[in-house]
Amino acid sequence: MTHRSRAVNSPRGFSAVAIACGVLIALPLVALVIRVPWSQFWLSLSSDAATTALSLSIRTSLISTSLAVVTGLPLAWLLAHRNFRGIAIVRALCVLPMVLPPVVGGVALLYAFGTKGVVGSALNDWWGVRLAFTQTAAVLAQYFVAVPFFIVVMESAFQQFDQRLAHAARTLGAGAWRTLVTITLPVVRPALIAGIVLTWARALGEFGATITFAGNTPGRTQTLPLAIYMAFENGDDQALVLSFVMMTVSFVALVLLRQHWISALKRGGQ
Amino acid sequence: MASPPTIGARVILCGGIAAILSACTSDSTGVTNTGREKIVINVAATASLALSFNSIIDAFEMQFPEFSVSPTFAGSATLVTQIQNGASADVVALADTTNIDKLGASHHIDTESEQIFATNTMTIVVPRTNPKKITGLTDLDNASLNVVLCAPAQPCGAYAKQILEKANLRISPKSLETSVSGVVSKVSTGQADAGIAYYTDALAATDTIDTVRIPESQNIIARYPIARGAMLSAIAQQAANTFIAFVVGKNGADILTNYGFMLP
Repeated sequence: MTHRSRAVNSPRGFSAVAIACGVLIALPLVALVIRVPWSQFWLSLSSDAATTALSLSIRTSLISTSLAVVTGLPLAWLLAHRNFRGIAIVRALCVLPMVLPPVVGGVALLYAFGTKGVVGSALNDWWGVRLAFTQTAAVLAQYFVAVPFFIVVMESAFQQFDQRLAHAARTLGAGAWRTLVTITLPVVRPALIAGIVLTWARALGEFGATITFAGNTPGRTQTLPLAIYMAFENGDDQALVLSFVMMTVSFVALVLLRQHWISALKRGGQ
Repeated sequence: MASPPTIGARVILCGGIAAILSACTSDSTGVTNTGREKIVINVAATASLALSFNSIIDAFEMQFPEFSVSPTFAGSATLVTQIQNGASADVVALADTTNIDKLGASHHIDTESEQIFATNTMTIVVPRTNPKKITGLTDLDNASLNVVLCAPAQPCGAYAKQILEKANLRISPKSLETSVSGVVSKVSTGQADAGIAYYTDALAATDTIDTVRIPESQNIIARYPIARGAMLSAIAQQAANTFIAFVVGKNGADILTNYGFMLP
């Protein structure tokens, strides 16, 4: 399975540059850990502002991740199995939020779902529904920036999936849904889990689109990253404590799922 | 390999769908009733009011337990954009009349309810012990100095601009912050050598920053308006009136003066 081979000769200088790269990534994170005020760690973490933001973040990120899974899966499936004119454009569009500055996503969402937006004005006029600057907006913002991660991982997983397995199931009388649930999904499970975790981690960390489209109201739209920013602006050491918590949660999730996402990436890469 | 999807994935899925349904119904607009049947008052207040308003809100909720105040703090101009794009605000409190006039023009506030409830002045803020030995506005006119101001669309930026223009100074700020808290934090963390902030913000951060007074002749008076949102339900209107009355009344005034504001 593994491709790690000691016989490979690394080009001269690679190790040094690789170490520099690793240091550049690790140094700021280590610096943050060093500055965390451990003596007031629990005090900061159990404050009202922190627990409110934490529970809001967990709630909204789970909702947006579920939405991403439910809606991203069929899209990834179609992208993997269908070929139609303009599929390259659809693919690029699906991935666009990954590279777009999140604040652009927030502005775009505002022009779509704000009260003056393309859809939002109709929602407001007809049903009196206002999406922008509500908790639903925070969820939508997270969904917008995070769903591409799920689509990308699942599309490549579906492409790598051995279609003979599905054909075998079909010849044994299983319908498309049953084949998907009993054969395909279990086989692509590592990718599924990797996709869910990456999507969730991205949703949890979402900041730019949220503050633009959902605003910054404690208990409603002030998620953990926004609370960190506010604490930092106010010169509050709580920013360090909350940053540390976010970093640890994401790090642990990635480490625990390392096998899953490594093998998922392998599937995608071969 | 070929085992069914993990329990974890299923839980996330089911829990998520249930939560979506509840999230979509919870926070629609304006005044909503929470589980304890409290009337929620959405207050949009400018960043320089954050500390004083949090105290006012605590005191208000103590005195009126039937209300729950949900504040949003941001730069005044940011709040105007948010409200004009659909953020619900039962009460709006900003740091200048220019910005609240925009909300009046777009019919997002009830202009009849508008009143000035506090005033403030500006001051130069420098890191603790004033390492660059700044003594007044003219010292800011120095290209080697890192000066931060608020963005000109925000009241604190507009006020700073007025002050600098009045003093005939042209400085190029190293950073334009979206709210006055950004100016104070850049200075208190030593990333900037000086900034212009509200007197009240400087007062709140005396353990990390020092202030250099701007004399009255060079200073401005920032006038803070408060108003009720437009087109509120009868209950929301009453709730907003109660909160505004508390802010402009003795309780609010005492807290505001404690935080360094002056009364109009």
